[in-house]
Amino acid sequence: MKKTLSIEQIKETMRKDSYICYDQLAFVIYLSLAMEKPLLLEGEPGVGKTEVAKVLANVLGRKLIRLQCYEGLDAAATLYEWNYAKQLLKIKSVEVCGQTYHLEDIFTDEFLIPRPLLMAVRSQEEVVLLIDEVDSADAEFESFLLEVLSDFQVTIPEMGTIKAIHKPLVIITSNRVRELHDALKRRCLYHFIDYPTPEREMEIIMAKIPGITGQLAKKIASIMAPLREQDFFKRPGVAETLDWSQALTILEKEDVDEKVMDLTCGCLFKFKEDVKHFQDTKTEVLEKAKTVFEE
Amino acid sequence: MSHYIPAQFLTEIDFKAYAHNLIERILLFSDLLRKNRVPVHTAKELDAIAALQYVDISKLSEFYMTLKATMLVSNKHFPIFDQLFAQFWSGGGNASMPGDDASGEPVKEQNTIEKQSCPEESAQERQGSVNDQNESQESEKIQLQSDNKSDDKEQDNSSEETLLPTYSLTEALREKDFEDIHPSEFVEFEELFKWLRINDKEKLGRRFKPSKTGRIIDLPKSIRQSRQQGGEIIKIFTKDRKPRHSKLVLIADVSASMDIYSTFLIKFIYELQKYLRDAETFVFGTQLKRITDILCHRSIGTVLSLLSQSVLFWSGGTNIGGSFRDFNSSHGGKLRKRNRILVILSDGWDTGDIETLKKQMAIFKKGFKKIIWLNPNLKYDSYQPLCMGMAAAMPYIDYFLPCHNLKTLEAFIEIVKKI
Repeated sequence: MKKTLSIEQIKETMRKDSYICYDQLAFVIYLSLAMEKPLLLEGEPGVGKTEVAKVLANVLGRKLIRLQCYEGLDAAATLYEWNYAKQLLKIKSVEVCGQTYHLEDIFTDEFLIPRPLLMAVRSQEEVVLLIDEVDSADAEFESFLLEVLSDFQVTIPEMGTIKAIHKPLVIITSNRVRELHDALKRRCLYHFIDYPTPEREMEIIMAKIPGITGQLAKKIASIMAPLREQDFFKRPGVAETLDWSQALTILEKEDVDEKVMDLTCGCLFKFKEDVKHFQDTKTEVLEKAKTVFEE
Repeated sequence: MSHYIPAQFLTEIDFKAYAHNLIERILLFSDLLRKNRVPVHTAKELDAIAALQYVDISKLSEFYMTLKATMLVSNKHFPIFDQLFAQFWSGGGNASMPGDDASGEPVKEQNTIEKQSCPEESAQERQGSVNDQNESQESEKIQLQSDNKSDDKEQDNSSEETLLPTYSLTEALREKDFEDIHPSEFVEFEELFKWLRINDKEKLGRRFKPSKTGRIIDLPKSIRQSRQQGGEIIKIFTKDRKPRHSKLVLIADVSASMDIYSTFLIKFIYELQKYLRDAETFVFGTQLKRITDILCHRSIGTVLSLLSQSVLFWSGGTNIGGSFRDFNSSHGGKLRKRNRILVILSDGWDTGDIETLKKQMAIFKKGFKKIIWLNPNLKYDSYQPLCMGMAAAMPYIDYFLPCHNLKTLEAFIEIVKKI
């Protein structure tokens, strides 16, 4: 059995890197490391899915290779491309010198431009491969990903099959813009990152925003919970909480009241309708916030 | 892959009863999950069993998390998983499940488990409420032996009742007349509305646009670019046909006779306008009003409340001819184009002047590419367009379609796609 970090160690080291990792998340990370299986993280935007990969790379001392998915992403942009210009130059220079060349000469490593997936497979050291927002890529790309994820190998027709020396730790994130294909899900361990509990959110604020008072962090965390129960077009995630906390620290506020909330609501909401709904309900939310930590 | 389970743990575990056949029990459990419409693939079962060697199975919480992380593929299955887990592995009753944020409350012991039969897309938080409301239709109950020593076969039999397929539930809703829809079904319904789409990419026009994945080689561009490299073509540029957008102009009747349907149709138009470029929407009764800007808001609630504030003739009389004349004189010049499709939603009951209506319809016919008239009364087989307004407009209409349920709206979309 491969030696990996224990669950406690994962929690501890990630905490040192100011990522407050809860038991279940630590557990799936542990399993993913132990089983060498990709980890699929789903959740609302801004709950720290991408951050998991970044912090993990740091904690494990591995290099992070990031593949940001977008619509129209294709195999060439993710695997490899031949450097045509360089190949042509090579052919020209050989011709000028009056020598002959073989086709194999220009299909070598020298002329290959590796893209994230190939980099992860070929890497001499262990890496963390982050495939971010896989749901925004096309379904075709997803099926292409299957080969890489199940065997950790890449086939280049001119060079043959390259197999990973070390299986990379693969973290896939999805915002649920569309359902992922079952075949992809089947190859991964699954975890859904939910909005944090008020206690954990307070810890996160304390860890991420230097110089914030415990009292303010507690207040902010207690407001966020009832706020997320409201029906917004886009509910504020942890990222928004941190922005807000940062703003309040800069403004040197000690406490949060309605006036302050009005001034800073741009940190939390990015839609006009949401801002309006927020202003209608803020009194109610503040009222509810008082009882959050008592429960 | 090893199926080895460390023996020293087995003596300690709380749920010793299963120790001798843990793997078998896991397989049975995944079978139970499948029967409750949680998709568990064989590969996932193998994962679950393989994962056991890395965890301390004497701790129920770790065992629980292992199964959860390996077997499930979506958070919408979390509640049913938790419930079934508590039920199935209840032998280790004194060990508690981790009450972390994602898992929610540990499930209490129950003898019956309700089957969740919501459509695939339904959100997790809705499941509870929907089930409560339509318990009789939607859910069946299966009896589960909570006694852990019970015969496995017996358990199998008890949970092997036939299920109401999810599809038929959606199907029933699709065919349901808008006037029969119960307020409790609204949420479900709005979810279905979102799936009504005119897919832009399906219709390709005659023009081209550069595209990385295109199949047609853009020779002029490739040659042009190659001049930088002294005539050597290094990169081959490709192009693809540009998708053609269906441009719709919608005019909806909100008079009293259309009352039942207008709210649904507005919701439908709202969904349409969200992703269709250059769609324009008007409502009319005794007068005409442009509501395109109101429909741009992000929540349907806001839209409806704004509409009720600004459209004062809602549920009033009808003057189709007059309203169309207003349309033609104020907006027509800009909107009447040969690349636009005019969609009229009305039952044709008119108190206005018929001659005006005829005249306006003639102008429409000349100006628009096609005219589609959606009439909810078409649901009656014996319906004849006899009322004066409808009879006058009939000769100018290209497509005369019903619009009383989702299925007919889907048919309408299919037709728009083809035009």
